[in-house]
Amino acid sequence: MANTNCCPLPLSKRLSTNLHTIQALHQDSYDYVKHSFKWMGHTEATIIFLSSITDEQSLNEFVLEPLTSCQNTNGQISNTESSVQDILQQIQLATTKEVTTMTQAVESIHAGNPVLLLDQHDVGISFALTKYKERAVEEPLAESVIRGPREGFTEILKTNVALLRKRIRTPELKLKPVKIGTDSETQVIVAYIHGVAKDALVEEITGRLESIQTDAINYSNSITERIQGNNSKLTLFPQLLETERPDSLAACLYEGRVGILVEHTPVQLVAPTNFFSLLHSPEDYYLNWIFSTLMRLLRFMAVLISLLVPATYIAVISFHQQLIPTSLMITIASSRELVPFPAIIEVLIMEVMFELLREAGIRLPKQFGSAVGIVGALILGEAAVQAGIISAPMIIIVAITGIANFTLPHYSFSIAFRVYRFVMIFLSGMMGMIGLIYGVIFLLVHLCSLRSFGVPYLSPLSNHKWHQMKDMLLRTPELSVNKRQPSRK
Amino acid sequence: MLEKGRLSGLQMVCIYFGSVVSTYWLTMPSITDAVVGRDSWMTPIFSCVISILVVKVVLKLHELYPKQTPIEYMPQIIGRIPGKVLGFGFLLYLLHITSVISSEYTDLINAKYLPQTPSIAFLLPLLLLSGYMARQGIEVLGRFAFVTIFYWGFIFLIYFFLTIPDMNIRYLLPMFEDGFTPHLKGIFLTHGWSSQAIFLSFMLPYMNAGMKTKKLWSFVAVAYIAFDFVAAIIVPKLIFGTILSDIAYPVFQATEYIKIADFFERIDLILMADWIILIFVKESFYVYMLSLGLAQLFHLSDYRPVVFPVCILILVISLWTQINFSEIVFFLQSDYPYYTIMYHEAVPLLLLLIAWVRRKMNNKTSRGTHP
Repeated sequence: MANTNCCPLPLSKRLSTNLHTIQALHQDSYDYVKHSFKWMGHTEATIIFLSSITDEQSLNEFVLEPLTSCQNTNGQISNTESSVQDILQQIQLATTKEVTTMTQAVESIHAGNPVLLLDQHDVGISFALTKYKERAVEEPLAESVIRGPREGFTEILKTNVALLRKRIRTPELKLKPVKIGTDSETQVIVAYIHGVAKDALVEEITGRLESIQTDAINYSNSITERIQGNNSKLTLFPQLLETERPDSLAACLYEGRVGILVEHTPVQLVAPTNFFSLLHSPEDYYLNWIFSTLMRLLRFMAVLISLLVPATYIAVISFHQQLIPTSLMITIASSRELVPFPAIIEVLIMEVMFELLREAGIRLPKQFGSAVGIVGALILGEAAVQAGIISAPMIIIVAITGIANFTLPHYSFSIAFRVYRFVMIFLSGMMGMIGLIYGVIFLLVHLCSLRSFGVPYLSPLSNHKWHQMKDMLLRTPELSVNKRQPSRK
Repeated sequence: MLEKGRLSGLQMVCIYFGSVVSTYWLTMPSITDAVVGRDSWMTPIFSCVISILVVKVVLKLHELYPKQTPIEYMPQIIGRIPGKVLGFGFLLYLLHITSVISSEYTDLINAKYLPQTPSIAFLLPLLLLSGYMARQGIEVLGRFAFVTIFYWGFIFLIYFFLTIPDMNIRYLLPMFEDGFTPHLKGIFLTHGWSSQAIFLSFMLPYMNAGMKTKKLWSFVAVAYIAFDFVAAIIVPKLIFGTILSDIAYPVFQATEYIKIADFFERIDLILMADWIILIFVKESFYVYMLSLGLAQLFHLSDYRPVVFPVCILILVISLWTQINFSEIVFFLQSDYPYYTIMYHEAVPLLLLLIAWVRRKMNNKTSRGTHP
C-alpha cells in the first residue's frame, strides 16, 4: 500500500481514532460507506466497506441483521476475545478474518471485504463478501474451435480457478498465490500439478514472479515481458504460451508445464513453451488423429508460406528467372507488362495495404467490417490490377500470405511472422535467393538461441528428443501417448 | 571454462559435416578425378585410413586432457612458450584457411548467381551472421547444425534420385584398371580433407557424454563424411564421366540437369540455397574456433568480444588474398596437401608422443619419490 503512511500501525482501542484514520484515507471516495450501530445495545460498532465491490444484500442479511437484533441482557462489556467469539457465533459466514492492524483493515476494505470495528476493541473483523461484476463464461473469440468445449476464461480469477479445478480433480493440483504490484495488488496464481511439473521450474517461475517490482499489473502481457529470460528480451516470438481456454491450460498442466493465472485478464500464461507447441491448436486433440496430423503439417507449411512466399516471389522474378518454367514465365511477364514498379516496390505496396486493412478491420465496429472487406477486395484488388498499377500474380501472392498467416492458431505467434515477412522481402529484394537464405539463417540462429525457462525454443527438434517428437509435427493416436508421466508411475 | 554449452553426439556430427562437406563439394570431386581417373569415387573410402588415424590421435589427446581444446593443452604438453607459439601458429593457419573458404564462397556466388555484385556485399553479411552465431556459443551452433543439416542426407538422396535419368553406369567401368597406385596419389591429395577430423578436438571437450559415446560419434562422423565424399564424386562422375575433371562446380552442375515433370528446371538454385547453410555452419565453426582459441591463448575472460574483430579480420584477409577460381584449384591441388600436414597430422601426432613420454617419465619419477 503506497498511499498508506500508517502501515504497521495497530488498531487503536478507541473507535473514533480508527475511524478518523480510515476516513482520512478515503477522502474523495464515492463508494466509501460507513455504517454505525450499537452492538448488544452498549458497544459502539461501525462497519466500513466500499459499496461498489461489496455484496450489500448479503451484508445486510448475514451480518447486520443478526448483530443489530441481538441484545445483551446483563449489560456488561466483556473482554475483546469473548466479544469477537460472540460475533463470530452470531454470524453465519464461512470466511471471516480478524484484522489487527490498520494495513490489514484497509486492504480488506479494498478487496471488497467489509470490516467491522468495535469500540474498546483493538481487533476488527472482516467478512468475505466481495462481489465484482462478472461476465458469464463464454466461448473465447480468439481461440474458437468447431469441436471441443465452449468454455473460456473470464476476468475473474475465482471463476478461472474453478474452470481449472473442474478439469483437474486432484489435490496434486497446486495453486500457489503471488501478489504483484504495490498499488494494483494483482493476484497471480502459479498452477501446476505436483509430481508432474519439475520443482525447479516451479521455483524458477515463482522466483521470477516474486522479483517483479512494479506499481501495477494490468494484463498478462506485462507479466510475460517481465519474466521472460534476459537473453530473449529482444524477440518477437512469444516466450510463454497464451491461452484463453481452460481445456488447453489443463492439458498443458498434465504435460508438466506451469500455468500462470493472472487476475483481470482472460488470457492465461503457460511456461515453458516452444516453437512447435505454438503451432498446436486444442482442436487437434478433438478430431481424428490422421486429420489432425495433416492439419499440423498444413500449419507448418503455413508458417513457411507466410514467411517466405512474397520474398521468394521477388527473388525469383527479379534475380532468378531461370527457376520459372517458360509457360509460367510468359504468363507472369504478360501480367507485369504494364506495371511500372519493380517487384519489390509492388510487394511492399500490397503488403502494407494488406496490413492497413487488417489493422483497420480490428478496430472497426462489426457493421463497418464489411465495408473494409469491400474496399479491400474491390478497390485494392480489382481496381489496382485493372489500372495496371499492380500485377495480378502479386495480389495472389499477398492473399496467400495473408491467409496462411491467419491459419496460425496463436495470435502472438503469427505476429512474429507478419513482421519477419518484411525483413525477408527487403533481403531478397537486395540479394535474391542469397539474401533470402541469409534471412532464414538469421531467423534460425535466433530461434536456436532462444530458451523459454531453460527449454530450447526449437526443442525437441534441435536436441533430437525422438520420443517427444511424435507430438510435435504429428499428432499420433491417443494410444501411443496415453502413458502416465514417468515421474508418476 | 569459457564455453558452458553442451553438445550431443549427433549435433557434433552435424557441425562436422557442415564444416567439411561444404567446400569439398565445390572443387574436390574434379580435383580428385583429375589425379585418380575413373576410380576416383573410391578414393574417399581408402582415405578413411587417414581419418581414422587422426581421430584416434585426437581421441587419445582428448583422453589425456578431457576438458581442454588443443590451444589449452599445447602449452601443457610442450611447455608454455613453445606451446603458445604453436597455438598461435594454429590460429594463423585457421585464419588463412577461413579466408580461403570465404574466397571460395564469393567465387562461387559471383560465378554462378550474382555476377555483378561486389563480393563484399554478400561476404560481409555472411561473416556478420557467422559472428552472431559464434557469439551464441557451441550449443546453439549444435542446435542450428542439427536442425538444418541432419536432413541433408535426405536432400542429397532426393537429388541423387532425380539425377538418375542422366546417369550412365558405364562411366565407372572398368574398375581398378590402373591398379591401386592412383589411389595412393588421391589419398595424399585429399588427405587435407580426410584429416579435418582434427577439428573435432574443439568439440569433444564440450560434448555431453562419456568417452565411449564420444569415440562412437567421432567414428560415425568420419564414416558419414566418407559416405558423403563418395556421393559427391560418384553422382557427377556418373553424369559427366571423363570430363568430370574439367568441370568447375560438378555437384551444382550435375543438379542443373534435373527436370521434374517437364516443368521444374534449374533447381540447382535450391540446392545452392541449402548449401549456403552448410558454408555458414563452416564459417561460424571456424570463427568460433578462432575466437575461442584466441581467448584461450591469451587467457581472456570471455571469447565473445573478439568474435566480431575476428570476422572483420577474415573479411580483410579474404579480400586481400582474393584469389580467383583457378588459383584456388591450383592451391588445393599443389599446396594444400603439404600445407595441411603440419597442423592436421604432424602436430597432433607429436603432441601425443610427447604427452605419452612425459606421462611415462612422470610416473617413473613419482614412483621414485613415493615408493
